[in-house]
Amino acid sequence: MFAQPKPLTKRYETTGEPMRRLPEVEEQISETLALDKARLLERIKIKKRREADSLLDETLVYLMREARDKSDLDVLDAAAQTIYDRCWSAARNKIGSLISHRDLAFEQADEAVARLFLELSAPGDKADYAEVRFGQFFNRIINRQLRKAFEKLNEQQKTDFLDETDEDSPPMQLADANSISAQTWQEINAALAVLPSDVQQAFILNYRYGIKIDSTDPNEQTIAKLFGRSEKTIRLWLKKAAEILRDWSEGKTK
Amino acid sequence: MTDFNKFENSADEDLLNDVLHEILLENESQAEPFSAAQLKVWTNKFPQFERELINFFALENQLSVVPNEPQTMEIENAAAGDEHFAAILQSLHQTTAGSENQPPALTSLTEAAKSKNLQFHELAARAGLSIPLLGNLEQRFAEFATIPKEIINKLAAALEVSVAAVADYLRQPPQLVAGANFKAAEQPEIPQQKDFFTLVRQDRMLTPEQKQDLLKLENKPN
Repeated sequence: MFAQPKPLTKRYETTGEPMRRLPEVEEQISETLALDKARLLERIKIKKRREADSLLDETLVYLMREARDKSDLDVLDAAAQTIYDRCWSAARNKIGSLISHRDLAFEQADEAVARLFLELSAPGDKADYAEVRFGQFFNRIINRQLRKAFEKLNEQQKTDFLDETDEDSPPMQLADANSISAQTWQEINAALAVLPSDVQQAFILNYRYGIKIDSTDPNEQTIAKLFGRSEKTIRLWLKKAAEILRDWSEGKTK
Repeated sequence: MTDFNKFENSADEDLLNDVLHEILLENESQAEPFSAAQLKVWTNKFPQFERELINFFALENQLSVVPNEPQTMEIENAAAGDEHFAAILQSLHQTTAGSENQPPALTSLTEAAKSKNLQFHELAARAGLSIPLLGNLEQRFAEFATIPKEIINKLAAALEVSVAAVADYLRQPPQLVAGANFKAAEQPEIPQQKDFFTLVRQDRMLTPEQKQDLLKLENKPN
């Protein structure tokens, strides 16, 4: 009979239900609690997720948090090292694939990993979700760091070239956003990647999420407010994005 | 280096993080990334985070083009990762139970010894090391992973600090002794770190007994 892992105490904000680990995580944690320390450390140190006997990320987080509470530095250091090794290159890959400025991408990736550990070591049950879905926990941090990277990048990137767009040309007709498949959205996002991040996001917010360009209602969130730009500028951005999509669409049908 | 302590979580940010986790969980089983209807539902539930939620959805859209397990990008400077990790680990150690009353991190073994009225040679003797070997540790010329735990424990005991504090000090990159006067016009380059036992073998000040005792630790699991 294996020892039982400590239950999570955090509850979901919307439903009030307690968070629960996946059954395979519960099972693996129980299994590790029965190991002698040398064997436990061996298993913790397996970095490749697909390797036999490797531990799930959620299990590593449990072990790391437990080791922190018990001041077991052997387990704490080993678990932290494996989580770090798994996440460091993943963060660099993920942020690096969207940010072409390599130094900025790596700086933000390093900060994402540092933040990950800061959140994992938060007192109480704040980090319980990392034992429920570690990948999503980390992705949320990556998302936050990407936003910071884009903010920095947008300060440097010129969007002035968009002002040269012919204002008088008629707006382009696009297909109904609701009729577009998930696969096509991915292709659209990839096609838009040539544009500055602000422009891509403005287009997606308007086209996919129906956020208005501007509004007379001061309480309504609009794209112009989000980006702190004039309505005219946002319209030019959207037009440029639509043109890119037209070229992409024409290339696809050729 | 990353300033690990610069992130301060407010209660609002904690709640926002919880909400984002729930959005991600809700979307886990859906084929389509994030819909306009979802954005509306969530902004209605949490209007105070409207701006953050809109930004989050837009970025998740951009992230959807990145494969979940992307091809491994070539990491040119793995050593940079080591230094980064050492800083993170040091902060993690400070969050361990009972660490809140610990003194600040060690900045030098010599200084730590002085504060305990210990001479450098006395510290070396208590740890079973020669002065040059302790000097190598002081300047972090030994690869951390090869330093036997017994040595770290002895140093911690002699200095009356935690094992983690000594480990955190030794784990950092090599350094030249602070304040040293160099006769050459240019400051010498910091040498590459060596295996601890290579340094033991090269040391001429260790007695044969000390050397033998230290080399016995070589094949012991750390």
